[in-house]
Amino acid sequence: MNPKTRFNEFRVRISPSLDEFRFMLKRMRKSPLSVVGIAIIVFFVAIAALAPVLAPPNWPDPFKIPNVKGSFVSTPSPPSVDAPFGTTENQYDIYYGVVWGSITAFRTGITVTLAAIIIGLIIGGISAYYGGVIDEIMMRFTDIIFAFPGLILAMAFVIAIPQKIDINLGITTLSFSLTRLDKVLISLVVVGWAGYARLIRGEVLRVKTEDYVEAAKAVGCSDFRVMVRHILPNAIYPLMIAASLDIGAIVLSAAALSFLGIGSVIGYADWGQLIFTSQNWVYATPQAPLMYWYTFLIPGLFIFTFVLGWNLLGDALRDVLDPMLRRR
Amino acid sequence: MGMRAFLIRRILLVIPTLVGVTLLIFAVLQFFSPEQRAVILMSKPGANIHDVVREFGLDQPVWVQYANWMKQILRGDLGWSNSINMSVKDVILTRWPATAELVLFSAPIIILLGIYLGIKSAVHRDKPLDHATRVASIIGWSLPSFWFGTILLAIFWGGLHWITRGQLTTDATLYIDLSKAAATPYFFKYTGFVTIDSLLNGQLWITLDAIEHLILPAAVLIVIQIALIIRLMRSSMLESLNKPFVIMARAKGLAQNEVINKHARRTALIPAITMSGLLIAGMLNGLVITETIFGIPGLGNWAATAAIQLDIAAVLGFALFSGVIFVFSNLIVDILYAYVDPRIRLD
Repeated sequence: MNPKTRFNEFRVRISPSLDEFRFMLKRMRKSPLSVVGIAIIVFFVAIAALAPVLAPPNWPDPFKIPNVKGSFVSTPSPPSVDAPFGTTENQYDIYYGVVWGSITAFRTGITVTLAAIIIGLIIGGISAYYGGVIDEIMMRFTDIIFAFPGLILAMAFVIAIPQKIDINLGITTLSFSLTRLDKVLISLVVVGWAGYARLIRGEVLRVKTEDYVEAAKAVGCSDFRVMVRHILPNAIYPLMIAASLDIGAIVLSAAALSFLGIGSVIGYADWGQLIFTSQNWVYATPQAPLMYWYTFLIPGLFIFTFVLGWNLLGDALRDVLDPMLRRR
Repeated sequence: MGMRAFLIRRILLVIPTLVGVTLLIFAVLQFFSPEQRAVILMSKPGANIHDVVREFGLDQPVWVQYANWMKQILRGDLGWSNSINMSVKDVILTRWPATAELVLFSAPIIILLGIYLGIKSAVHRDKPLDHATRVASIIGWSLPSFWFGTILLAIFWGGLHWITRGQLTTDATLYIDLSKAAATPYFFKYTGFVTIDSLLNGQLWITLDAIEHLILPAAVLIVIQIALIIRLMRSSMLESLNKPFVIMARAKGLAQNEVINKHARRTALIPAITMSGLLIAGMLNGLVITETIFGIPGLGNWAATAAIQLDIAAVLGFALFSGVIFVFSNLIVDILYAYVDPRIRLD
């Protein structure tokens, strides 16, 4: 087959999806809230991408916030030329922290969501495709995660996961050492995968009975091929919406864990951690109670705006993609 | 299947779920070495590690350990909380009223106001009121509770000096604490709820003081959790407004009020009930943060302090406790659901 016909064939095959995508964009453009959401996310992408320019990295570890003037004076210092947003206690530069913290936020949201989706896909997919006893066992397993309020379960995991994990393989021992942030990410995946497993199970169950799946089975495709080539591409759409809605929530949970003092270590470029250190400075002195306003106001504003951006986008996506509400 | 059969089946289903809850907590325990586990499990501090290892069979196979641990839990022994030097069971018993007080103060407002705003929003779809409600609820949903709480505290404590952090002002706390030491106690803790106890003791000023201190934490919970209810209620009401019987009610000339209140709202409330499980989970999560910010001596505050001090028995005990609470609240939600929607129990 020559490349041109192949391309044409490809174009014909994906043209409905392209139309769908164009229609989606058109709807999104019409909703001002989603435009605001996208603008916010673009803004944060820009900050994250330009972080080395906005705040020259503190080598060797750019995620370690530098101490302004290298001192460890325990009271926060107000905004100045050296630290445009002021410093936390022990003189960690808040400006540096929020700029590099945006990378941490993206990393947290995206890694956790991707990992949770992959586990959810495997468990939910297998569960729905094979059904019967396998389904029953896996879904009861999923139910256990749902039996806990998420943040509280994540708290338990964060403090229980050890710093160093050794896996004994007989011949050699594999060792991983985990940072505090890694532990937060793992705990959030442990709590988060169950929702995706349930979602994907429902979708696969819906798609499984379609004629094209029966046809693929009839011509002798393997289970794996049927699942990956025929079922998954048709079941994955709602997963995307759920994921975009989830990123904000995950960043919020990670920040909450940091706020509780069990997230990333003090001095790490992480928004939640900055608020954790600001707790002592909410009420400064009876004469000037709000003199340390910058320690809690600024990092929180970043978290709030970031989450708001994702939630606005997710909300708009849902309206656009929900077949019950669209095209009216 | 009648209501009775449904009830029996649903209640029986609680047992495997509870076993699952304990299994997960037990699995988390396995992250620790046997010696560490012995320290976590001991019911009094300073017990001999070897005794604990023997008692719990920590040198035995896993299922023996699970069985021993379950026996202990069923007896109500959840270990010792080092961070406040009390047994986990006693902490839960003394601290739940403060948490419950906060829930009772905020949950009714969240539910009633949330339903009201959700319906209003749906009825006035795409009108300014709808847009305003939606924007407000997205903002509420995106607010980090710990930040919002901190800002409120800064404004009303630091800025306006209206309240202090904590459950009561120092005067009220002193009044209650001194009663314990007094020759003839004059303040009795009948229920553990400060608001109710102070009324029963005839100390209206303490009641008012306690309520004053509940307003801000409740506001944080309300602003953040109400978004969920508004959103659910709005979409469920929108669906209901397009149902044939509602259109029929309109067509036969019923007044708008009648259509909304008598026909559409009733069906719209049903799906909202099932989703209230989410509200319960959100509240439990939110309480940990809110109590910590405002220094309310409840369960969430204890769990947060315990987590930072690596008081593992306390965190796991609290996780287990909230899992059990959550399982039972979901049971109640499901029963309510079956009660209002016959299709469920006849399934």
